[in-house]
Amino acid sequence: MISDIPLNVILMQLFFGLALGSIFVIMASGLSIIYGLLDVVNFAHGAFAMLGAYVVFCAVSLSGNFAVGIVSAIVIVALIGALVEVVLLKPLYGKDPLLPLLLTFGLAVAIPDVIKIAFGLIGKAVAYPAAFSGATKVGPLILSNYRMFIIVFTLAVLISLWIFLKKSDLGMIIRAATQDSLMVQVLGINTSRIWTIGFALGVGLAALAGAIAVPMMSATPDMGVEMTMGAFVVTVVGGLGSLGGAIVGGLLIGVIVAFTALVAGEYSNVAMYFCMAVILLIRPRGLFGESGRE
Amino acid sequence: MKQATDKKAMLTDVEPKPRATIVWGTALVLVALPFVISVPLSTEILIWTIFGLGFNLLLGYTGVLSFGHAAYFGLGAYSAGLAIKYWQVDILTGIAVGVVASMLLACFIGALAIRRRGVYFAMISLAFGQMLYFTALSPLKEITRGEDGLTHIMATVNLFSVSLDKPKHLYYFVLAITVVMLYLTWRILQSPFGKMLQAFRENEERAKACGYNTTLVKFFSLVLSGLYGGLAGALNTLYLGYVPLTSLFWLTSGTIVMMTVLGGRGTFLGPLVGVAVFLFLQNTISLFTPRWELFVGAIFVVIILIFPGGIMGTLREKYLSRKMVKLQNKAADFQ
Amino acid sequence: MDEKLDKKVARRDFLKASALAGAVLLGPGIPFITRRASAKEGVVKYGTMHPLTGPYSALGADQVNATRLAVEEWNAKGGILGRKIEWVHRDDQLNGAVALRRAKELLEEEKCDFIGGTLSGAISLAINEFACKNKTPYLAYCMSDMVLGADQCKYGFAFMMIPYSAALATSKYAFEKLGKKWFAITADYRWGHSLLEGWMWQSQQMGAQFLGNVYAPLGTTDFSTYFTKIMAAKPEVLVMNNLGADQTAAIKQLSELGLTKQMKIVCTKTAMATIKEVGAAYDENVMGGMSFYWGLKDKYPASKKFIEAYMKKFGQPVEQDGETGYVATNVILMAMQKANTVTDKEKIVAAMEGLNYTLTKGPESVRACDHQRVQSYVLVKGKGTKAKGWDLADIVAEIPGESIIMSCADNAKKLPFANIKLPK
Repeated sequence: MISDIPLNVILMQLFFGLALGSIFVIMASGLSIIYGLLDVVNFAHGAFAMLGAYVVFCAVSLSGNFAVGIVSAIVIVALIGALVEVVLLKPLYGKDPLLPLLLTFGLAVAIPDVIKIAFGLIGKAVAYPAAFSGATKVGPLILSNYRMFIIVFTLAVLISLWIFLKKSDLGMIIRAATQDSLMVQVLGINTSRIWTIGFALGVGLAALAGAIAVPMMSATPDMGVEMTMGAFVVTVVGGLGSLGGAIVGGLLIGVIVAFTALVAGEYSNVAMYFCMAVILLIRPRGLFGESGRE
Repeated sequence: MKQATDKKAMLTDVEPKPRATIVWGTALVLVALPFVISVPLSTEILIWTIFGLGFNLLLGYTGVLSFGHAAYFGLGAYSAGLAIKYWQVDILTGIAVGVVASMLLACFIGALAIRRRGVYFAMISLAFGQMLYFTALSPLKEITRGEDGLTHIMATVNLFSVSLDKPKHLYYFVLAITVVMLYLTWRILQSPFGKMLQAFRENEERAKACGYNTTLVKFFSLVLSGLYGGLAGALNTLYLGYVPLTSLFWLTSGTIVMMTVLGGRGTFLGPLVGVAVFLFLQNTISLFTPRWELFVGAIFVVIILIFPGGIMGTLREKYLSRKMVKLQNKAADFQ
Repeated sequence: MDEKLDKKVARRDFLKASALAGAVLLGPGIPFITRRASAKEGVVKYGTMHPLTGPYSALGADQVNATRLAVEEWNAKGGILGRKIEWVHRDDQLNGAVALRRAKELLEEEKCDFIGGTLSGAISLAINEFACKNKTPYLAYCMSDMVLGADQCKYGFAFMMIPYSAALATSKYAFEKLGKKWFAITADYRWGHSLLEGWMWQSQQMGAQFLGNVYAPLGTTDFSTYFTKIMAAKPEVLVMNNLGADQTAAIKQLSELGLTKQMKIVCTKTAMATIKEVGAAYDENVMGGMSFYWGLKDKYPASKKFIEAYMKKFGQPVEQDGETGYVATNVILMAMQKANTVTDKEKIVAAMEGLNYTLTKGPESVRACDHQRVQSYVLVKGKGTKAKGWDLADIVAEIPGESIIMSCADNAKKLPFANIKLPK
């Protein structure tokens, strides 16, 4: 079937798939950082993304600048995340490992209602930033400027994240704490604060994903659910707690969804889950998961 | 650390000797239920309780969290509905078809994923649940009727020649099955298998070291749980006369998790209490405000933070610690 | 000493826990024990279900508001045949299982004389079947196939449109005014398919050229992956057979690529909430259908009266879903008046059949044979950046109801649409 399709169509589909995958990547990286550091599966990840989308709406309405929107989304949601970690999650560490997961599930149920009360039931539109609206013709391809921005921006975010984790002191502590938090503690570092920072960083990434998705789908209180599901599938495919897995898994799922949409549109949702089942069969710990952590 | 283990050992010593009275007592209360609250709500409480009993077996007693239990519920509902609609089987056969289908699904998912660690299994089961949901929604819509759900399943509900069309008749039919399942659960928990489950939940490594095949036991626990889920789903089909697509949706899984945790994981009556309280809260709060999810979510968070044992778990703990203090005093007097 | 303290603490904790558990159990329990409403003398009781949670809660809230307005207007006039109208509404969570439990409670416990509501055609089919078995009138507020074929039922009344009617109205206009080469994005479930059937049939009748269709699963958030096909097909008209968040995402993403400028976008059904959520991208190149738009107030005195009453009470105009509820509630009460009974359901149903009324638009009627409200369909086009507050769209046409509904005989056999072969 694929062979009948002209090359430029395939390339365009690949482009759309990568753009879609980029949002998955950012969502899943946040999820993975939180899991790696805190052993917490954040069920409210999509809800934080939704909060990010609403912060963008507010910031853009006030300032008219999309960049301000993105920055404030990350900062404000990361602060909310830090608060959630300190007040709600901290008391649960060292107890039953399922409790934090259940707690974030409770948050995922409650948070959309807070937004409905604050912003009403009808969603909020955010226009495409003027600098990236429209499309560019590249040879036989028509590429959306905004999606090119998404791909490049995601790349930039990932590189800075990588530099932060590899080179900065804090990043190194985070990586060390991911490996063995007890050892880090023995070295005299306040791991409790590291956890807070890690959780804030993770939900900040979720907010970023929500922020860059909002011009394409508008902010609605219930938008988080599908985003959480997508992030889960990507994380399982890539390997829980692995940043590399989140990147490869996200792009892979994005491209698979795009090509399924081209060949058999109605299967595009199932394809994602089907792909996950197949990967689990072949490689239970996911593409990049460390053995023993699954 | 040592003190804690001692305390635990003492706790188990003072734990009340299990008696089946709890089953019969509960049954008695349930017989009266439809005279106190609405019949549809009572029936729903029973169906969710069966679902919850199985879920609790897995989460509360085995320590495995499945976030895709809607798969078993929904598959049971659809299989029973399809069998009754297209093969015109009687309702008992329909229920059996639903139960068997769900158990087979549990075998499949178990074989694939039960070895995974706790949170990992939760995510995988969730994703499988969603896969089933989307499969029923689009690719299989010729069979499942997609978004419409399965309608026109049966004109009347008959058990042999007895009509169960009156809401109360159906309630007592479901009640009979619920009591059987309550008794069965009680027996399972008293059996060596049940003790083994609880041993794993307490300390999987130790159980492994003792030479038990923990994977196999977890697998059986999942399959049993699938049985309960399928049964609840099939009964739901009889009760509604219709299979909504939402029976496969992840919110159904989320609901049973919330109910069980609310009532008390790993307590015998936890699921029943959790189901009743959850549906009470949902019904009552939604009379006053459409934003009931905010309250239910917040209450759930508070329960997790302050009473992680849930309602029955917290009560039980308080009861036990009180009893232990009494014993200690007695011991002190004796010395 | 320590033990005594322990004991005290333990007891206090135990008491606290029991009190809490008691409060949790009893607090919400009280309304439950008292909730048994017996059928009161001198009252007509109406029960409705609406999705007040979930993605369509804005539309559900409008349904509630409009029904409240209708009931309060009648009660202010002294009720119906000397009886007060008592109205209860419940949240169906857009979930079939919950909706059916609500329906059972409304009928068996609340002893409602008739029921109504629901926003999902799928749920309306299940409620219709249930109401039919229980011989209780059911007034559906949503687009539904329940008046077609085997789903036709003596007690079920559909107050919005049959999905194909919406498709016939929009497609007729689109093929006449916008172009004959068309492509469709269809939500992959029955409602979407019914719309597509309507478009395909009209296309055959009017000699339009069908270029292709993509089925997008319900809840699709990224439509860009379908655009490659659309750009290759170069249609003049791009049809949206979807709703809500799906429609919002599709239009926004089409505008991203500038496709809204290259082709006309026609939404078979749209909503004010959707236009608001799309924002500036919903411009004059985007057209949508609605069974009611508040701009009709400049055309019909009845619309003006209704809209003014509604805005006075709720501060914003009503969606088509709310207007449907207003009409449904009024029609059954008018039928009771006509039949001069509030208890004899057979007589009330008979009085509703063929009832003529003018409530929110021009004169309309409930068709006797299949219980479908015959009403016009309004086509609007967006205002883009010129939209302000609730002034979201301009009316471009109003298609009369009689021209977009098939004959009774056809509806009973789902013709001619049962013969339409949908594309793969």
